Amino acid sequence: MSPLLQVRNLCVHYGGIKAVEGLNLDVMEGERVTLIGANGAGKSSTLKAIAGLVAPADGVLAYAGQALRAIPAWQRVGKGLALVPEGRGVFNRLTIEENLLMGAYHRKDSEKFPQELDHVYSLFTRLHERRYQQAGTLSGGEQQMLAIGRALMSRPRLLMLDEPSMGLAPVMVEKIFSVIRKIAEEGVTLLLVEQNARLALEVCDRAYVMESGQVVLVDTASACMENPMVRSAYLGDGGG
Amino acid sequence: MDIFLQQLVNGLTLGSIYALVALGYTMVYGIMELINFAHGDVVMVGAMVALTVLQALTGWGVPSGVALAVAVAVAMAVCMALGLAIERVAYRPLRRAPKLAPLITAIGLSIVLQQLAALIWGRSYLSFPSVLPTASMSWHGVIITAIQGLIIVLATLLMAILLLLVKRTALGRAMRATAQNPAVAQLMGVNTDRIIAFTFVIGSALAAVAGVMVAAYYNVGNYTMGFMLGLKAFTAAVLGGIGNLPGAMLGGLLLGVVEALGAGYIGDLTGGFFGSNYKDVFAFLVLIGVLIFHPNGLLGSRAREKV
Repeated sequence: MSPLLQVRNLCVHYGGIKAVEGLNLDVMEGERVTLIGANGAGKSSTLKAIAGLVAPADGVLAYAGQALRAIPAWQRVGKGLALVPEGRGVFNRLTIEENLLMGAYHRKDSEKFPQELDHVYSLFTRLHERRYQQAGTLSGGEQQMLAIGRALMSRPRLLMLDEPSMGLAPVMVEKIFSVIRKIAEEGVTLLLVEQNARLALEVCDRAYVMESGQVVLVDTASACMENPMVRSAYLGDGGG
Repeated sequence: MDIFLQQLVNGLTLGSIYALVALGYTMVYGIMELINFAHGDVVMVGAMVALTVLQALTGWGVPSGVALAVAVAVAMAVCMALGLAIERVAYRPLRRAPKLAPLITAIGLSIVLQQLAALIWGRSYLSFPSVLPTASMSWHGVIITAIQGLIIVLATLLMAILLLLVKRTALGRAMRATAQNPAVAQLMGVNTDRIIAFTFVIGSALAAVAGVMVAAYYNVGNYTMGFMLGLKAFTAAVLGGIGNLPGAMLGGLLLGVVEALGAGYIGDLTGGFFGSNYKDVFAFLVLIGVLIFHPNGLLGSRAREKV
């Protein structure tokens, strides 16, 4: 079986800065994969290149057997490729419900929207209480819920999440990750970028460890948990 | 009191036109933070096209109502195509350029449109054929002409339609999303280039109608008519809070009323030293006042980068 997402020799440059340099990555259908690494390792740039927000300098991107690079960003979501961007990117002056409907913008089957809105609201009850408020009035955690709910409204086959735990209180992170688990159990393929490596490894099957734009380690999540290099560099301990 | 009410009616008429034009400025600013200084000249093109069509049709003996409707439709079609072309040719190539580049392009474009119009229609004034009803109604000494009534009703209707489009439809949501965060809007499947082009088209359609209204109200059209009108509508947009649709409507109406009242009373207040021909001063006094005391405008909430 060929992978749902196949990345070969991806290079992303910003002027003279080489953010990603020769990255290879495979994500199988139904798999949960995480990219972990320090700040500036090139994780976000990788996701942005897959979503089409930055143009790669080089490399091959294939999704569901289709070359991605010639497809503009706005057409990729229609193929089931959704990104929850870093910093959430909610539309502050749209209401919660309008934000969620934006997620379904590319879809024609609007008769199904009410039911799917209900599904998102059942995952995040806070959003339901505030659905007619402007998204800018939400707390950071609620905005993250909204960004994830909005991505779900696009009916993703591959859901990419960029630092969903960033800047959130531990209890909120717990909540967000329990929903991410639920989403994965519904059969959505996950590609998760996280600085909180422990959480990411708990949720995912497989991990790619990135350093300065390159993959330095690929292994199953459980093996990474035991790997001394990963433990000291990303799990923040020398022993227990 | 009679003068006050009369000038209020005159001001609301003028203000409705300013509001329609101001919407074009504010929509484009909202979606790409660009002051499209050529917008006033799109209004002029609308007026001149309509005048040409009207003169031809009435010459052939077409009934006035039909001639007027056709003229407005043709003016709208031409202006929408012009708006589309302006975005495509002048602004899209500069999407990633520094903010000043499209701004200078806008000013250049304004000059180009004016000179083209001078070549096509000449430099003299075209007069508006008498196709409009000359009836008027009087109420406690205040006279409302049919043209005034028509302008106010039509402008209100168009603004209501625009608000419904922007606030209640998926397309309107996509416009607002693109204005707030174009990159994320693309992630949602929005073709932001198309949305921006659409914004120009809508603004230009409103401009065309406003152009016909101005020409009908003053009975003339000329290749320079878009300049002052554009500046005033821009003032109205800033007054209401640029980027804000209801703000542009409010700003337009207020500016029209301020100008009309100013023109009505300036003679009395200065003992006849300044006449009503100084009415243009008021718009710019308003602009200076807003920029000094309330740069975000009446309904604008956030401080934004100003040109």
